[in-house]
Amino acid sequence: MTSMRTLPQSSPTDETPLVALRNLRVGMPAPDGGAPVIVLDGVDLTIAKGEIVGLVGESGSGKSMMALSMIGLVPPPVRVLSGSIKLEGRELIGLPERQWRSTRGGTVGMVFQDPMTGLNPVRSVGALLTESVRRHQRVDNRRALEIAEKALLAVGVPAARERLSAYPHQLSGGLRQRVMIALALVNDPKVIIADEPTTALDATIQAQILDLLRDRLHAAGGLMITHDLGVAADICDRIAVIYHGRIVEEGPTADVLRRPRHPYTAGLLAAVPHFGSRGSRLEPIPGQPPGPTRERAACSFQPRCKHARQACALAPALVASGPERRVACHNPIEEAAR
Amino acid sequence: MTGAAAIRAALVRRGTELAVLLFAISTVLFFLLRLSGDPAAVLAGDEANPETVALISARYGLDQPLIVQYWRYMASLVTLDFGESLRANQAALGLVLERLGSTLLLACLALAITAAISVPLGAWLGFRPDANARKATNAVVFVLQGVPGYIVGLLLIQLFVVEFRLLPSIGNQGPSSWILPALTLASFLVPKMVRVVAANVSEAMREDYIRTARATGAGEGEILMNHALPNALLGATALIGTQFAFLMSGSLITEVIFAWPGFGALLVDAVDQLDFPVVQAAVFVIAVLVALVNALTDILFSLLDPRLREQGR
Repeated sequence: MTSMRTLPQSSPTDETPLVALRNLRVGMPAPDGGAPVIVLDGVDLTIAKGEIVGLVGESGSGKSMMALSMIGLVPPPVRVLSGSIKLEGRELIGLPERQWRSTRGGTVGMVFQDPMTGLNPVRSVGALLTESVRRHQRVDNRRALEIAEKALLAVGVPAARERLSAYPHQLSGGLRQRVMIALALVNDPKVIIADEPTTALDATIQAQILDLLRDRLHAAGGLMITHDLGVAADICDRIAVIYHGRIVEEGPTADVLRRPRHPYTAGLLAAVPHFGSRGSRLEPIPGQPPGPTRERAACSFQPRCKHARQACALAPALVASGPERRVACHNPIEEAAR
Repeated sequence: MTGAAAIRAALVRRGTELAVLLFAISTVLFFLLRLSGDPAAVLAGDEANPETVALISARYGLDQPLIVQYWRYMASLVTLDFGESLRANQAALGLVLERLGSTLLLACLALAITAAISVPLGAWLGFRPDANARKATNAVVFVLQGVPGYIVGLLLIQLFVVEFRLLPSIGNQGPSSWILPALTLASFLVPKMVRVVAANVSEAMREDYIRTARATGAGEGEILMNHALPNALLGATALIGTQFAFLMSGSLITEVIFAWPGFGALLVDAVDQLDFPVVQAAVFVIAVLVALVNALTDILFSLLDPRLREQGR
């Protein structure tokens, strides 16, 4: 490990993951100097080049905060407390604001959830896109417009040239989300983060947008944040399940969904309706997810867990559990027990 | 609906509104003025005998029953004939229009000063999260909003005319004499506009599209100028229409303080002397002005806001 650290950061090797989060802690420092309120508690996650990693969790689990910390936009008073976020080996935590700005929209593209409120109503599509292009590429306005048009075409916006002068309210929800994706992709980012990109859309539009994102995220590398296991199953190579600011289970998508080892993942799956299995009852997870807390000694899922035992009073670490699988549980679901 | 038809419909609607408004204002004004005293007695002077007063009454038709007077007044109003001033032997409307330019000059200067102060100050207040500076400025603005405009005018005179002898304070004698009355008139609007711009900017800053802009790498300056301010000012533009009426009432006071030759001062004199025709003409002109400015802001607003733009087309 020590020899790894002495490697110069500017020369990423094939071994260097595209994105590496190490022990990332995000929270709100207490004004009295006491223990901070924790939002993300020591998150480890890697994304390889060309890989789509799904981050699955409920609202308030910290998944959006993770996305925002990856583009340096954690809203104060919340802030990154410790840990590391590396992009191709380059540390992002602690970057000066100037360099963060060239990262955002340049090397990291971000797609937000709601295209109805996420696009400035008084700026045209072309103005929004060219503003970003000219910020990150040294081109004149005419060239920027060409790049913007190409970006719109690439995300399947018909009549892209005319759409450049359109305003967001003149576009349908699906088209707006395509514009939002074009805005994230227009400078050919190395990583694309999509935060619930289909939640606000109609089901038919969702499928189109997912197809688009699958292609585009595979071309670079991406983090797909969702609470929808179906979406995750559809486009992610690997998924990480997050609960109360901690990753509780991680592994190849099909493997995790077919053979969940953490009781929380199993609970999520049991709460999803399956097509064609009429009559089988959905099993909701009892209780409520906890809000942000200071006290983090125990496993956060313990109060809702059928498998809880005494050891769960101490939070388990995320450890390897079979090939490519990791789970944070003292009493994971065994193959035989299912 | 075609564009031309839409515009025609809008014009008809506005025209009808204005006509109803003018009718109502003129009626209310007519009866209010008749409650305030007998102009014949004022004209004749304190020591006049009843015969003289009766003579004057007859000459101006003031001896007729009220309803007849009202009918005559409304009938001549249609032809924009307000009658002659009881003081100067001149058409009342002409007297008012002569002074229109001066009042408008002052109003435009005041609006420009208001914009020059309240846009940057409001933007800073709404944008900068530095709590202490914001609280202090908010307190100052809050106090200023409670200070009547005439006090601002008198303070300015005390300071720049009496103490430092820098600026003239009487009448319209060229640009240097515009400064103090324009500042005084602006002081009626500035606190309110600062608060509105600040509130709008701070509201815009919480919108999702600001986060989107940040995620494309926009710096703080770009966030403010390209994203928050255009949305915030859109709301402030709509306010100018309603605030113009407020500005007109401020110009009455301001023009009296600075002996400014506008129709505000004329109106105050006319009320003082019960010069009914001039009062009626001045109020009529103010009402038309306010309606015009409101219509203009509506048009401006629909040109600025892309969401309204194509509805007019």
